Amino acid sequence: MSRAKRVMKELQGIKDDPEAKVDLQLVNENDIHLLKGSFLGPPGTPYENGKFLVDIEVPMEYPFKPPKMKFDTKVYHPNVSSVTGAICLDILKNAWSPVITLKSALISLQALLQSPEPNDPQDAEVAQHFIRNRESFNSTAAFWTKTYAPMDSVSSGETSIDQAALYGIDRTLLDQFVSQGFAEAKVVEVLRRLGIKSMDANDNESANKILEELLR
Amino acid sequence: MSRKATVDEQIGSVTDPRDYRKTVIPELQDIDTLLRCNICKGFLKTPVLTPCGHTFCSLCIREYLNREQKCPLCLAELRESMLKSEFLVNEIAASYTKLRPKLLEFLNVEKGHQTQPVEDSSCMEIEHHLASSDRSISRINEENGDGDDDDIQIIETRENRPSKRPADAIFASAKKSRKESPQSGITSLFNRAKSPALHQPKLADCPICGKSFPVEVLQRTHLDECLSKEALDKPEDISSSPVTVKPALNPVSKELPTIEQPDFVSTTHYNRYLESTSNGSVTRLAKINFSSTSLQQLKQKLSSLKLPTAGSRQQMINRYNHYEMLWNSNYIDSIDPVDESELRRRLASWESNHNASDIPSKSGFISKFLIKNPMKDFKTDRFDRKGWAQAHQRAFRRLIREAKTSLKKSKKATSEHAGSLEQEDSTHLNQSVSSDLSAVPSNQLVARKDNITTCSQGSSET
Repeated sequence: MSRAKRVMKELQGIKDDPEAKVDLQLVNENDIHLLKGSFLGPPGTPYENGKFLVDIEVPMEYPFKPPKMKFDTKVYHPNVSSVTGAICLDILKNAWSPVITLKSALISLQALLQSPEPNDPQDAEVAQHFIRNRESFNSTAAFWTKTYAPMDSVSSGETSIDQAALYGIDRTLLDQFVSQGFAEAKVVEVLRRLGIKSMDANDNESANKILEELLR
Repeated sequence: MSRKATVDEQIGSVTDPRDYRKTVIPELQDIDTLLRCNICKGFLKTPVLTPCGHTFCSLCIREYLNREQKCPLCLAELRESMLKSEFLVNEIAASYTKLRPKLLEFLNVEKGHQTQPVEDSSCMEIEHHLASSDRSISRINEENGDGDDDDIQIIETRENRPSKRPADAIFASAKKSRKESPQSGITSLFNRAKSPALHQPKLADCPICGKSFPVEVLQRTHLDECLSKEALDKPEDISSSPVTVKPALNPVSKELPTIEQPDFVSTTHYNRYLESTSNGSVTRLAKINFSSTSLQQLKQKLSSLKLPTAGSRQQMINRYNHYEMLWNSNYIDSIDPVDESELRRRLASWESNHNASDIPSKSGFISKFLIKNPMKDFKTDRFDRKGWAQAHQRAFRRLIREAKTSLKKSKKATSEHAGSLEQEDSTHLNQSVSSDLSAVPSNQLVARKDNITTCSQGSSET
């Protein structure tokens, strides 16, 4: 079977390469079609110092069909679903070629983290955030990396996560509505739905819209 | 041993170009990589060349072209008819694949002895002898890359010869390598260096007339004479006449050693390459437009190729497509095609792998049973009930036997249970009767007793 031989060769190739920036492991020793890839966040990006895990499913027709990849680690990125971890990358879809290896696909994912494509997004909300306020996006992405992709692989629990930082929402804006008696989770949900991350002090129109949604 | 260990063993047994990184010649990994297919990452098997200049295994590229009509490397337009067989690369890859393990072993051995200092006296003697020898040494001039090295060898005398030769390192490690691998190439070279043939004047063939002459004679006079037109007319001079050189006597054996003429050694791979021709007698198996082909026509086509016609339409289409690929790769591209029965065997193994992988592996008897016997036509008229009954006769008998024994057991259990209930009822009734009799008047006693007996009889009957 070409698939088994090819995957074996790729595993051996990564195992033998000391300079490899990526790692590849079998999830279950009985199954050669389920693998777990991992790589470090590219330096000079909000994903720096993070270790990202990728679920890989190798189809029967591999290498003639692309492997199915999705992030196991939560990533705040325009081309990665923040909920499911689904990836929007051409080489994993229509631009796949049998010459591409699992190793080169993982390196491409690493490159994708370095240079996002907001015009072809997987997560529209994150893409909007990226386009509108890059600085805020970077801090949110860095917070997600610190929370979900720490190098020591020990992530803090969901309860201790700051919701405002998690979704890149301005803390003062959130506190403004929480002080009025609304639940923090509800305010975050409304602000996310409306796509508002921050607001001017004299922007009454947006404030009214938020209140309207909160009271609904 | 766990399954994990076997997977690790399998991974360990996989060849990789990086195997050469720790050897004396790490640059060999480039050759190793170049002789691999970019699709399967294995060594090229029946390689074919694309018009854009890329080489792949015949089966790999044909399977890819069933899906995409472009080169996997450069994305140039590509169709199956454009592929050209590469017999030479096929033989190089096959030859290299055989040689690879020995080469790796040999290079790893050499790596171990590379840094050893030269202390062997016999080696030193050879070094001294080679250095003091006045004779000319014929060697290919490596700098002269554009010249035709096959015809004329550039002669380097002692004066213009490089002082440090590449052979030095070989002689330095010769003794140890001889101990470890007596059949290795370096050992034979070492032994040849020690042989008395080394003392003889070097003979070389004239590239024009093909006769053997001493190197000096060939270089000084004969080549010029052979090349000039006058040399064809006038009788040959004594100086340029072929000389039979008397070799110096071997001081040990006092016998005349024979000087071996280096004949061209033809290998099996080389012979196969020379004999290789594109197979014109066998026709290419054509692709079928399945949308306009009826099921009956498809079955006829498969049966004409002696292929099974079982399964769904899609399975038959897949079967034909794969066989067409195997056929064309074998008869159009291969240097030594196999017969049709072998192709059918390969198809069967491919199909079994392909079908087995479609069914998810679960534990338990039923799922295993279903994997062995897929019951796709169970509810249709095509389902062979008699065949099924015969195939699973044992299983049915066992089930019937088990059913009978369980029925007997249940009957026994119910009868025992009923018996115990009877006993309990009778004792209970007797107790109640005796307790009631004391309180009943004597005139009513007989009637009550009759009732009780009838009741007890009725209960026993039930």
